Amino acid sequence: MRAVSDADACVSNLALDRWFSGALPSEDARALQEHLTTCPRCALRSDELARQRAAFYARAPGWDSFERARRRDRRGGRGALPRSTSWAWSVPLVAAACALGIELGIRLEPDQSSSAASVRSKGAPSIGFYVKRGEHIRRGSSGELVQPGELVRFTYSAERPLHFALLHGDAAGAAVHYPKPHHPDKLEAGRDVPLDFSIRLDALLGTERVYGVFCDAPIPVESLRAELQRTGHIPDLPHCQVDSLVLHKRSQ
Amino acid sequence: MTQRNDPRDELYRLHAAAAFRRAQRLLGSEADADEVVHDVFLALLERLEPIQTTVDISAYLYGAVTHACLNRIRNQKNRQRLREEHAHTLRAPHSDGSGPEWALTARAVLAQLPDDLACAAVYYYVDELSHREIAEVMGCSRRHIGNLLARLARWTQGQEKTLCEL
Repeated sequence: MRAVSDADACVSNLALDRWFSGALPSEDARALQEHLTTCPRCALRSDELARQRAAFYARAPGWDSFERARRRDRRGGRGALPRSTSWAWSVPLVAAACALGIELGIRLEPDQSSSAASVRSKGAPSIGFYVKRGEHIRRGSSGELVQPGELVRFTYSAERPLHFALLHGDAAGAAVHYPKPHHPDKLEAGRDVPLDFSIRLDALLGTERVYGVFCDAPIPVESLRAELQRTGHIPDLPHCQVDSLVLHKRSQ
Repeated sequence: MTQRNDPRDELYRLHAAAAFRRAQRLLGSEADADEVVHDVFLALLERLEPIQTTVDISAYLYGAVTHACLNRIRNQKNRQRLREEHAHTLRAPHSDGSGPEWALTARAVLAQLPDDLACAAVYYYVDELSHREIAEVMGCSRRHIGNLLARLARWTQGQEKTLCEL
């Protein structure tokens, strides 16, 4: 049984579970550990699984305590209301069923990390993104570690039609990604709507901040870009809402 | 004198968190996931000796948890609830398949799939296992997994209209 077939392959949760439980043969365990040192995405997932394990065992450290708690629950009904959990796993399955495609409907990584979206005010327009590396696509969240050469596709969510601009600022300056001349004046309302282009990340390492600017009136995009380049910030604009994401670009 | 650890406790400490994580993702509820983990571990502990000597526990638990969760998703009461919640979320504004309602839809899809396809769908789409790993968990050949996933693709294409027109 080889849980890690080659050094470059990303490791599955099953492989990580086997590793955590000490069931991986030592050669496979070494390969997995080496992979974790070179793949930030797998390292983050491994950390997340470790965090979930710790939370679970903090709640019920041993079989006896777990069983006692189950008996109490059964005697006294369900107790606490069920907590909703990550739903991102369902996207590819439903996408397959509904043939929605949008180039993202392959295998999206469940996003169980804390997401910037989770602390945004309800109903506020927001931006999100997916990252494609090779054939693998994952849903990203603010603070994501990304690598040169990866493709990033941004999405937006807005409850009503709005004017929109997408800009980014990094050590090299500021740039406008949206709108381009062929884009409509206003975005349609929608949730997690992918924009019609992807960005291949260049070789410049460091932190990039991406801004989604949503306004009721047309946006002075070029002056925004100039201000972002000059000050590193998007200025306050009347009747506009700004959402931002941070990407940390590191080499492998 | 060496004191041996309680084997039940050891199994629990090594594997229960992973079982719970998967059950919670599939069922969307901590309480339901607790019940599944409890039932699966009771069954596992009853046959501890044969399991320990013959089976990869992680793979066994992936299979046992998946079957237990699918049974819950499929039972009559849950199916009725899923149908009601599914209908409700699809009537709601902005129900464009980008929120928790998709999880309900996915569970509704799993409830309708034949058992082997539902398992394959869970391992492939939810756990993102490779064909080789799915074959290990399901105890069959990689070729059979390829066939299952092809059948799954055909099934979803066949259901496409029904699901998308709900």
